[in-house]
Amino acid sequence: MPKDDSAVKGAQGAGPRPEPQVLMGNYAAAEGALAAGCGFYAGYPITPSSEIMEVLAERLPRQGGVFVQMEDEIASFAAVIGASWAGAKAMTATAGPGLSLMLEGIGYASFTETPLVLVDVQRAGPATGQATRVGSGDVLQVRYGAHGDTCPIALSPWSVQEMYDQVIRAFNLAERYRTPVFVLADEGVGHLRETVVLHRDFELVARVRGNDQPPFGHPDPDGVPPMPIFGDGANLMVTGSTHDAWGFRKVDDAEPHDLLVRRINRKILDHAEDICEVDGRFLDDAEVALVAYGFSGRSALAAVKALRRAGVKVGLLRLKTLWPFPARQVAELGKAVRRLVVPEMNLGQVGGVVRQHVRCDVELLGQVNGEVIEPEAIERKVREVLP
Amino acid sequence: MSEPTRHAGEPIRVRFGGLGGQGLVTLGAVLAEAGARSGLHVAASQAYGSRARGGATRADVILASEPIDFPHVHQADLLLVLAQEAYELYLPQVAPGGVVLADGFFVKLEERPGVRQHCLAATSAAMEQLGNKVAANFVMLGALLGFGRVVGEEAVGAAMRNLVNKRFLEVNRKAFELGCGLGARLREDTGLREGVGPWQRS
Repeated sequence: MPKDDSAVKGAQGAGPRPEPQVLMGNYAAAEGALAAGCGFYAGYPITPSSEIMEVLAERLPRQGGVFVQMEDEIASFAAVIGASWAGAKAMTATAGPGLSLMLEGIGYASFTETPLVLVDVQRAGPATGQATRVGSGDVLQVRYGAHGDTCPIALSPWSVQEMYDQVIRAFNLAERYRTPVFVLADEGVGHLRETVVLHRDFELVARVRGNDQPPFGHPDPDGVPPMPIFGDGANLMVTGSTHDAWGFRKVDDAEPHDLLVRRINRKILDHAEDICEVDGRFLDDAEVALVAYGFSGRSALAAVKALRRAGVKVGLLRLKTLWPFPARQVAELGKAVRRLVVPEMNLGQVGGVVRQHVRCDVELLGQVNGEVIEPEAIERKVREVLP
Repeated sequence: MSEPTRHAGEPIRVRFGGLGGQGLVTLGAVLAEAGARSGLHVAASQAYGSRARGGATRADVILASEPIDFPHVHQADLLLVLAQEAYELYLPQVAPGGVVLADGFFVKLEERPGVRQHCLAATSAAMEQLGNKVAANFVMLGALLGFGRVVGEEAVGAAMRNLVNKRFLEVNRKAFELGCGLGARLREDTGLREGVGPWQRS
């Protein structure tokens, strides 16, 4: 497990705090990538994520980075994997249809322990669905889309400020755990304009490199090995087939496969406390609680405040991390309240997971009409299910 | 007609409605930045179709003196509208006591109790005085400022310099000023005394 002493100050050091400015969420995500020291972006434009690419196309080369528009999302993701193994902090951005095309690469990146960041600005699916409308139907796809057992990390921003902050955090988590990290945004947040401070008040996790240690094995069953890069002099072999600690293919042996599959999952799950972030509001005396994430968290907060004004004891647990699932926090909440309500812009993808972790009633409020959930709809649902 | 039933200091929800290509998203961005420059909390969003031009489009802005929890608009206090299709779509979403400012070139007003509605010659003025029909969007933004004084005029100027393509800045600045005049005249004609948003000219 890389230690905190591998952290270095932000790319440009901590200067005076910049003035707040009004930016679109997607622009703030691009600013986050630049602030985190992203050195490579390959992508294919798709609504509602294209503004991220638009900013980076102009700004990344000026910062000494490389920007490539690829022929499609499959190639984009492959290029990002390659750039990461060449030593760059690498990223792409897309929306649901592009994410589907990237799945093969996502599994490959998980199994080869390749750090990278993917910003998915979710739109209304399935398939090409409604390009300019909002949804959050990709939540389970990023968790389970790749075949085989993998354990991705996914963050969920609810504001323009968090588009900036969470992209920076995503790069840090990617480097710390050598894994793909998703910023699971939605059109509501991606196209929202509000005030953001592009601060430098963060530390960056530097990649732990090393030429003389096994790049795919670790003495701890949940350890993260150092990552050599091509060009550093190591005899490096990267393969999506099962491999031993030194990268040699082991496509018939039981033990290396078992060891590797378990480790790439445990290196994430065993560190859920470090990875999972939640934001609790009005929970102290709550009898009913909302569990929400992304833009729906904003609707939920407005609903909670309106209900509180009417004397209803309701609170909000907002999931800033979706994967690994904040199981402990949700389980504790389930013991403290009588009922949970999960509003989300799909038919209950996270609500179903919440049910796996609590014994109390869990009510789903799924909306799939391409519009954000209005606070009033959440208020009505809460009043309906009040104990 | 009665004054809007709003109190000074309450958030104000502004909607620009029209067709894709009329520059409404730009208006929303400019108004939001101008609001922030006027010391307000702001949130701007938009809904548009996947076509580059045509199709009802809206750009929404919330201006508030407190942080904004839910940043979208589902009932507007002020609707500025530049197309009949958008007018028909968004009129039912104007809050009771709300105000509609419509471009008379494109929109024919219909009766709606509890909502004050006014036509402005935005596109006609842009064509006749600036020779540029497309600048009608900034005429409407000017009219909003002249009529409702929702943010500072200087703040709009600064936001325009930041956000509007330099090639079109001059014509849009003139369009904005033209609109300010139209809005101020409407304000006088309707006897509106107070501003309608959380920002008040000192």
